[in-house]
Amino acid sequence: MRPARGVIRILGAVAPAALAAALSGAGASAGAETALDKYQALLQEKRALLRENGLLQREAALAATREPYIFFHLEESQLEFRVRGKALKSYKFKAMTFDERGRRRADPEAIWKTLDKPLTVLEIEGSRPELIPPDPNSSGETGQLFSDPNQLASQTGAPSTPTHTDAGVLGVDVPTEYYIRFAMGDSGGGHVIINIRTPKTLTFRQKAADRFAEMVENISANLSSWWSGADPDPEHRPRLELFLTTDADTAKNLHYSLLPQERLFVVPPPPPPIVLVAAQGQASTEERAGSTVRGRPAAVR
Amino acid sequence: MSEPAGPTGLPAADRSKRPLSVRIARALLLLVCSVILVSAGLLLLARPRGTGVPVVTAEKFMVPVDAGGVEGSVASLEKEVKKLSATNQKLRQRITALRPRGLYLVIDTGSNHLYVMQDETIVRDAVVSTGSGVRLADPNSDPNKPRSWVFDTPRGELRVIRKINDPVWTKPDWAFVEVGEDLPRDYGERIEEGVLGDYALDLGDGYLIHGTLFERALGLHVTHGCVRVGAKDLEAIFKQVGLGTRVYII
Repeated sequence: MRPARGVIRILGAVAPAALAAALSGAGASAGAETALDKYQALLQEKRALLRENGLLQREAALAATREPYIFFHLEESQLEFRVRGKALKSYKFKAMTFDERGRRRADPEAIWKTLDKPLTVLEIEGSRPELIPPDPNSSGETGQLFSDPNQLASQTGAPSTPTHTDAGVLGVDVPTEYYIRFAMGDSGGGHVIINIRTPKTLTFRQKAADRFAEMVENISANLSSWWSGADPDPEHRPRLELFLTTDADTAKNLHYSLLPQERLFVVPPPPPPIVLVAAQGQASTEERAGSTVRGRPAAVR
Repeated sequence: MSEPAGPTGLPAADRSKRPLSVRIARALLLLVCSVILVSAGLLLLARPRGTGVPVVTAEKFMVPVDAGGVEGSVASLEKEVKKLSATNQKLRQRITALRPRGLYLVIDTGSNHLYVMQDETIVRDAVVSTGSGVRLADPNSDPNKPRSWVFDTPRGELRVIRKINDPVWTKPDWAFVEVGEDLPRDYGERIEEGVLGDYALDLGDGYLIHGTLFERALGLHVTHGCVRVGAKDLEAIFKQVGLGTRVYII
């Protein structure tokens, strides 16, 4: 009994490949290979068009309003601010990674598959500093105007003496490294974090220390995950965390440009290549999540 | 009677008789093996954890083997592709039709620039000041109904709804709260002349494009939501722009 089952199993594994070979073999004489190539090319074109269609439909809906929206071009690592279908400004990033240290390059296709719904800006770190009015009961000319007294000094270069002024004279400085938290979809889609970082030049010693710190962090993270088993707090974990590196000026300009409730759409990259597989009774050509070959996690690439 | 054999098969007495060099070699071997094992374990532990985001290298699709075969599927796919292309083309046209054209203003709140645009061409580029993004809470407001303001320049598409010569500022409540003053009982105390420059373009909801006394602050994020422009640029923009002109703030 056992050998017979083994033979059936082997035949089952070989059959799809044999069928594909038979199809292409038969095609060699009847021109079916060309048909298969054409089929493959059309399938790829349809997938690209479907992706484009999804984006165009979303844009058409938003371009009909007066609201601004943002396109996130994954291939070019670029954020594009649009109103009424017109790109009015864009910010390009030097690197797009899954980790703070910039070692795990972010794969556009993987990001697009994860961010399948539009994102809405929820929070920008360091925005909305509070202006504290002077106390009218105090005899002094003024009170402290910013919740962060260092802001006064950082902008004017002068010590933060509580001289009377307002935001209208000093302006507000913003961080160059911050996070932007997005909600995914309308509700219950979880959240996504995009971290903005500026490039760092490290000395050999700093690099070595950083590498060692990374190893210790990984060991600690792995041990704690093994110890506690499943993620103890999956609700609060972001669906995706990205790190975008750019220069300080761009980081600041982007910080000033973003407002809560702005919408962000991920522009799909060109679809990955197709592998045609022969299988009896399955002629579906729909792009489905089930048809995706899931590779190893990006972290271990 | 013979001595009982140990786990190595040798009598315990014989093991102690081994030469020192052999014993040292065995200890060293044990040490090296332990170091290798510990290092391997550490290396395994030091591997970064996965992000949970899969890497997609290729996608599998089934070769159509049902009625009609490949040729039949190619024909139906061609139809689908044609239909999709047409739909996308229509959508693109619909979006393109919405795009700004003619004379319009673009205000970049990131770099604090105002551009006068004629279709795709920049006619004028002015350095401006836009909203500080600061939040101000009214300390005297009812704790059950706290009152606060956020000084952001509004975003999106707006229009010039009014053109004003010699604008006069009617100070809103926040202008008093900000400096720790009580709200005036007399309306006249709210009127301030000469602080908005010679011209103003009203964008609605109290937001204006106007002049400033603080030209040295142009280029900074310092305003309460209005757009401040230098006197020269303001005059030129005021003359160029008509009522209803679209203003795109991003």
